[in-house]
Amino acid sequence: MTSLNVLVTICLVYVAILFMVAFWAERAAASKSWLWIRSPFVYTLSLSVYCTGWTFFGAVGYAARSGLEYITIYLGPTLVMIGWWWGLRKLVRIGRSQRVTSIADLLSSRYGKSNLLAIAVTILCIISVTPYIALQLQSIALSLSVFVQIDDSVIQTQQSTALWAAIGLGAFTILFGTRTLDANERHHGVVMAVAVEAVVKLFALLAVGIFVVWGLSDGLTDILSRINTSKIGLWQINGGRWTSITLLAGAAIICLPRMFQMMVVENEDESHLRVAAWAFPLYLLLISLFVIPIAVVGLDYLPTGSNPDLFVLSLPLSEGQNGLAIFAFLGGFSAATSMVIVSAIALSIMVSNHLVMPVYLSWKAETAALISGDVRKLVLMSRRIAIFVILALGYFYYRLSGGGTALASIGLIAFAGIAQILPAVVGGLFWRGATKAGALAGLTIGFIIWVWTLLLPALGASGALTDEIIQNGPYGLIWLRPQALFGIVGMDSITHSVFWSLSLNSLIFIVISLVTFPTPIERLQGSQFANVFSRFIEPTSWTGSIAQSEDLMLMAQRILGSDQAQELFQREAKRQGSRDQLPQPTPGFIETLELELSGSVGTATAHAMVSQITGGSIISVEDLLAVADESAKILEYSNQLEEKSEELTVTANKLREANQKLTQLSTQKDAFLSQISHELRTPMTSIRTFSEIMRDDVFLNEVEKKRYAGIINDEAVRLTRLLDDLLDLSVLESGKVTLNSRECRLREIISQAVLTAQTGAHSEIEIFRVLENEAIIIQSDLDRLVQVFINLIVNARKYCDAMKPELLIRVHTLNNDIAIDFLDNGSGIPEAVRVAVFEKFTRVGNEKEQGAGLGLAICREIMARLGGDIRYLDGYLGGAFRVLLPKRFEL
Amino acid sequence: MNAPEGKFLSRKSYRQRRIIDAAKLLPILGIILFFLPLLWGNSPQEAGDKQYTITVTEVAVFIFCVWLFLIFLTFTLGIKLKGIENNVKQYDKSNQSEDSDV
Repeated sequence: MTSLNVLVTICLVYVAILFMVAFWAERAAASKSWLWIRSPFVYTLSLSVYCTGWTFFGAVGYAARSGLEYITIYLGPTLVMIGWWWGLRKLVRIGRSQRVTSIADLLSSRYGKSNLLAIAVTILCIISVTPYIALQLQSIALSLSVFVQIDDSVIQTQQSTALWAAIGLGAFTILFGTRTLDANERHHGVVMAVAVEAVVKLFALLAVGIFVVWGLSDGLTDILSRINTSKIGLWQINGGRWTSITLLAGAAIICLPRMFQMMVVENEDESHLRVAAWAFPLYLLLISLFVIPIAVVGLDYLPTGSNPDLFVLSLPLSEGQNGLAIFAFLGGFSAATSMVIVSAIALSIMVSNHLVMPVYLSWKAETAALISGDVRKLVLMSRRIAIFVILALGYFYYRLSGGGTALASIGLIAFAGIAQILPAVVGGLFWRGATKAGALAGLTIGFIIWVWTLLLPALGASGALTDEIIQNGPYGLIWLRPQALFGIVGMDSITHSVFWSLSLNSLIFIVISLVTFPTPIERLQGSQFANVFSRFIEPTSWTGSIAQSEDLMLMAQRILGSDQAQELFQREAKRQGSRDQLPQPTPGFIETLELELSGSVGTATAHAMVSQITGGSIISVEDLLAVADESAKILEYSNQLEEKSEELTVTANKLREANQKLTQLSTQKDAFLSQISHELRTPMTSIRTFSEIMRDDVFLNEVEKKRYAGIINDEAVRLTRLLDDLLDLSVLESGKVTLNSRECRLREIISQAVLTAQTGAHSEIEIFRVLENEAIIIQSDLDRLVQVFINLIVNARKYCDAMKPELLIRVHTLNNDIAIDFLDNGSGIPEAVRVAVFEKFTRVGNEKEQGAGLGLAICREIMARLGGDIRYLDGYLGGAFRVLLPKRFEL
Repeated sequence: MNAPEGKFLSRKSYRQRRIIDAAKLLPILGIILFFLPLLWGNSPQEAGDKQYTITVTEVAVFIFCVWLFLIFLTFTLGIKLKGIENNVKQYDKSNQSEDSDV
């Protein structure tokens, strides 16, 4: 048997090596020789802080009691890791961009930099993790005691071992965990030490496994048949436990303070996650590979009644393999120490940032707190004290609990407690609508249910809950029985507690989030968290004057250290292009400073500290939003003004146009009047002349009288026709014409027009038609249409200067219109007057023909009224007019 | 064949998006496979009937094989995702607005 002294010496040497490793890593980090420390494999190995003494010793015990179920503890994290693209990538990105220092800080930052939430999470973590630390101390003590069983004072040895272990771990943690107040809260020494320990514990367990499979059994086949014939050989599983423990383990890898510390806070480079996503599951696989063989062989070889939690040690020992046993012991020791160290660091950061600093700040609120006294020292000191207090709590918990319970059950209870943070974290990362009130309410409900259904019953032996309450509920309220909430019995206690606590936690979280309204800063943070990949908005919340730069500098020095603070300020001053040492406290700079500070003292505290300095001139987010609101209103108003002025310009333009039109019309009217007077005057003159002759000349014979009267009559007829045309045109132009729409075949209309036009004419024009094409039914004002046709035919007849005048009337469809072309074989209208041909009083060519030149103008007006058109066709030799009618013209 | 521009992505970014999809679906595959043994459970009354029992070793071998398989997939996807990570900002943005663009 190895003596206790040898073991203790080995432990001390091992710890000394760890010290050296940590020291070397810190030196390397400081001198920026990163190569080793920045490796993603160091990151992966540091994640193995998940595998504690419970994993190392307890997993075998767990397997010996319940078979394969132990593996769920590793399956949960595996699932979370292989799904890294969804969750962990976002978490790490947020952790880095927001300088998050702990899981409590994450929630505080997400939910509006609320310190209340941070305090709640911190307390929850302390309550869950303290028993867990006790468990590690116990595992160290227990494993040591295996080597000294012959000693009478086993219990005493155990207790003193635990005490010394606690003290030693405390010293290590303080030395490497609180050396500096790093802006990023990274501890290279600790990470490196944990990575080394990860290797030790993995190899230790593998060594024991190989010894068991190939030393104590005859290889794989033998071990498989041994397992099959053992008492755990049959596959029997409780689905509820399988599910809930996988869920808990998956939650734990995100929410456990030590896991968050290693995974998010100590993360050097986001891309490390990509490697850890497969390497860490591989590590878990390896560490759980030999658990069942060791358990089965242990059950075979060792006397009944020996503690299965210690098979890893007692198997090699019983076979006289002392060296292997010591290696296994070191593995367990590694697992326990790394967990305690990292947990203590993580918890101490939470305690100092969220409990001590806020109290200190409010206590010093009236005085210019941060200018007097070194905050830096205060933070470090509070962390050191916190580490000791946490370890002391762990030790006392170990002493009080008597160290009797099976290791695994405490571990699971801690997992279930920590898992209560999960809904708030997941909701915070993915749901912008999650509010602080919701998170707080969910957390509280989950915590209460967890305490009532799991923690207190587990402590049952020490008298926290009497059997009476467990059997019949408090005050006889059956539905409140701790292990059968709401009357649901028959569930396994873990499944029961996880089911109720997590489901009610999530439900309350969601419902309260839905009904409450978040503060502006919560909404800002919420959108930053949820959209961390698509955009990164710098929240602007501060403003200040140059005088405050000095105060800010003083405060930053006290927290970051003077070198770092000066560097930060000078860098900013340079960036701003000012020659002074102090930069302008622009909102951007103050925000950067707050981020830097929050890396050291947490989001809420940093926010509070900066707000104390920038004091009177702080513009809160609320104010900013109000300002934004106001400027939005102003913007809207100016937009309205702009719109109105645009409107005015448009109206003015319209008026100008109208005026122009009016002037034009007036000119037209004058021209029209003069034209009209001219047209009226010519016949009037001849009427007057001839009537005067008839009145004054008494010697006129009958023939002459008759001729003169005929002339007078002709002129009067011409005048009447002119007046008729004018009247017609004015009616058409004023739009007062009433159209009388009827249906008729086009052929009949053209025939009627041709008949009318040719009747009583001196010279006929030969007309060609294609009758088949004219069989189209049209709907229009037929009288008016006939009028147009007559006009065109008469024009052709009058003006066609061919020897043998001919007119082709051609009907065809053109898109949606019916086109009726009137083509004659004359010389057509000269190109120069084609444009004016439809204007009033335009006459072309043959002056001897009567007519006021209103015919085509009337035609055009009519066609416009009928929804069609009339135009002159270019490109024909003779005169060519086209009348367009809409198909089935509807009035 | 070249698809008309605008409507479809180039072959390369199409492949990248499918890799991201695969990375996102991986945990779901893991959950299904890891929870498959629950369906094989020997119910207590059948426990005596040796003919139809499933042993722990069978389940253990299955789970470890699945485990290795998932690790392998994550490793492979991790290598493929290496180049994509930088472009991913764009993808996430466009993903929010519309999914049809594939």
